[in-house]
Amino acid sequence: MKKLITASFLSVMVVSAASAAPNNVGCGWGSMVFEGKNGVPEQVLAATTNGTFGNQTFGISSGTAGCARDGVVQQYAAADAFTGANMERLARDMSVGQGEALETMADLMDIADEHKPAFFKASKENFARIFPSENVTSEQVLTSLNDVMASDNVLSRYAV
Amino acid sequence: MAVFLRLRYLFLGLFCLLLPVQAWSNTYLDELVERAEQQQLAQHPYWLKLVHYKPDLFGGYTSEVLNRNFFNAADGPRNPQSELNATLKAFFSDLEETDQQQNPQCRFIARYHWLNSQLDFDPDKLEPRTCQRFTDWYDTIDPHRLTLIFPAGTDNSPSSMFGHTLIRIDRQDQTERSRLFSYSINYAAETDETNGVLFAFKGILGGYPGRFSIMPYYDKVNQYNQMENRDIWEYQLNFTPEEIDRLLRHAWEIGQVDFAYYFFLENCSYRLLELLDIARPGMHTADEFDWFAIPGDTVHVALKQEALLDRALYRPSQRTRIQHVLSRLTAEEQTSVLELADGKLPVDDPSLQQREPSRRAVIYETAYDYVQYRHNQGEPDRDAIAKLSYQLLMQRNQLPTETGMPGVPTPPVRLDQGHGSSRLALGYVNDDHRDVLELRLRPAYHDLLDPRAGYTEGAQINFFDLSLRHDFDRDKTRVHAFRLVDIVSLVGRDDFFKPISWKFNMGLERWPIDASPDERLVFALNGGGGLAFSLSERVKFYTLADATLLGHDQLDHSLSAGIGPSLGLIWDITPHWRFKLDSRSQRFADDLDLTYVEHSIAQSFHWDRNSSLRLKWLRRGPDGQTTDSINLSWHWYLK
Repeated sequence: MKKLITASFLSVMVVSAASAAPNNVGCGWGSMVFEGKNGVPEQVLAATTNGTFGNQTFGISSGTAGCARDGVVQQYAAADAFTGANMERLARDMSVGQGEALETMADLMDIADEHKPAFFKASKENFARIFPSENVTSEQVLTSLNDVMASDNVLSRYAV
Repeated sequence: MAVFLRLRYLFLGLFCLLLPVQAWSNTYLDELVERAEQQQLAQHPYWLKLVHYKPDLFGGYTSEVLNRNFFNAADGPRNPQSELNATLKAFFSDLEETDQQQNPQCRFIARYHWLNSQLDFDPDKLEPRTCQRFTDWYDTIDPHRLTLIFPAGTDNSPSSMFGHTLIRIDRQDQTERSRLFSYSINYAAETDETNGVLFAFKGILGGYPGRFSIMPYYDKVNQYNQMENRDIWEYQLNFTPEEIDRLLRHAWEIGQVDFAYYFFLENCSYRLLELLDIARPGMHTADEFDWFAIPGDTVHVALKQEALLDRALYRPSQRTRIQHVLSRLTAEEQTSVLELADGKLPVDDPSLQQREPSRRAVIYETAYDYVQYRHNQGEPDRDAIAKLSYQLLMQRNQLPTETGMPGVPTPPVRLDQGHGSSRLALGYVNDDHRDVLELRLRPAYHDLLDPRAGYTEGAQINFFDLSLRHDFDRDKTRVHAFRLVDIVSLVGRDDFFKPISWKFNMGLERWPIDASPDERLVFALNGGGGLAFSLSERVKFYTLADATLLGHDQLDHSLSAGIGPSLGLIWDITPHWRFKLDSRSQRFADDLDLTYVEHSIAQSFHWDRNSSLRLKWLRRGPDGQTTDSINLSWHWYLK
């Protein structure tokens, strides 16, 4: 498990580095923080909850599509996918230094329980570096987060 | 695209049918088929469940799966025996697994495991295949525990009024703080229909295919908690690892097939019960539901009958969380939050700097959450919102992590612990001095005088509410009313949240449209919109503008329309005693020459979740010729 995630984080970096344009990671999950989510018409659409809509559907046993295979995100892209879909919450949690999105991120990066406080603290202290503006993209966030961890005594073991 | 995909799978299905032919002359196959027939496996309840056979009108079985490629036999949809034989035959196929195709042992992996457990396949004679795609999928999901997820209903969308249920598969190493990244299995109607009303009507008639899908739990949390502001209950279930494996294998098998989606019975909650029944052989919760499968009832039955529940966790929506924090702020602090969100107060304003750091932290966090909430509700200026959101977080970042603000308390009554959603009522009515007995039947779901614990506050949703009355003085029995739909949404407004209150109802009702002493049974359609305000936690006042359309062949042009105001008050004297006052007037067009007025005072009491007592005084009729009635009724709530 641990090896997989570490390998996965490396792959994210490779994928991120390879993509020149923002919002265009291999998986298609890259997104800007505070990205224009949904307006009223989309919300009405989303509110017909017991229906699913074309691009949201992940078929079980459906074959490969982007970074997903048979409906699940492959390990190497998990942190990328999570960050892309939860930028607003991750930004909030990192600015505060705690929260569910941040805890989940720690799990996805396979950070051991005893190192989580250091991870939360580093995220808060380096918030302005990880999120340098409101227009930062998810892959930039992941790259800066990796840089922050690389320069931290405790967390450098999780950086690539 | 979807059509194309579906065609592709259809062809794939044909492929699967043709390839196993090479294994035709196989004595071991003949032996397996013979043993299966001796053991009567084709009639086994578990086989019937795996292929989704249901007894049909002709004494046989028909599968509810719509796709041909789910069956190995040409007559598989209607013949459990020949499907079982053909499935055994297909297991001898040497089809190689690719991204587009699977060996039948993998494609039908749940059937394979069950038939193997019954027939004990000899690996030398029937070579077991490696199912790499399934194994990879299973390992990625990392299943450890099943959690039933129940987002509350929202009456602002007809398609999700009753709530929804889905299954989350919890990871081995996840904690309560990191459960966002686990997978959930969801059953839903496949549609691009954006009109909620049309969706509901077509959904009632089974007009959409239903399909299972899998997605990260955070996608569902973002949708329900953030976008739609629905509280979620999470029920951790006590399934064993073996049972969880059965569920996943079956989910894999039915991942690409369609069922007919019926809004009331064969909906998300019903299919989910079927999936749980597959996990635990011998459990038959889906069979408990014949007409309506309302999510709250299905969860109640599943948890009660099978003692499935380990623990329940409450996950409040974004709006609930904001309201909770606001209720703990002073009026001045609330004003700061609002002014920050409106951009009227600069984020570094000196007035804020004077406050305690922990209070400032809460103010910035809440302003951020509220800005995000408004954004999710459709506020369009993305650039301004992003800039303000970022500034708020930069300010929040300077302050200590801990604020001492407690989380939202868990409500004492869960969504599955409310009253049963079918209702039977018997009442005595003194109608203008005549003695009348009233019987009412309402299959679903909740009105404003029903016990409200476990239901969304201020939301009334009734379907097919039938009232029969027997008049002893005239010795006459007749339909008093048959309301097909009756929805009311009364949500209080304040400085932060400004919902519109509304109502819509349609059905047959008695109206004084002519001079006949018996009021006519007319088709009535009524709707209105307006505002509600909470005067305190227990008292809500509302006022709506109403319009009514009546249809009856005694009317000129068979139709007449009226408009007028309605207003009312709801007062919760105690948690078990509600008082409701209503008043409305409708002025009809000149051809009918009617000003209809209706005033009522009602009270309801309840002692437990499944019965209540009501007393209602009603004055109604043409203005100036109203009559009074008093109605005392007992209400029973079932499943």
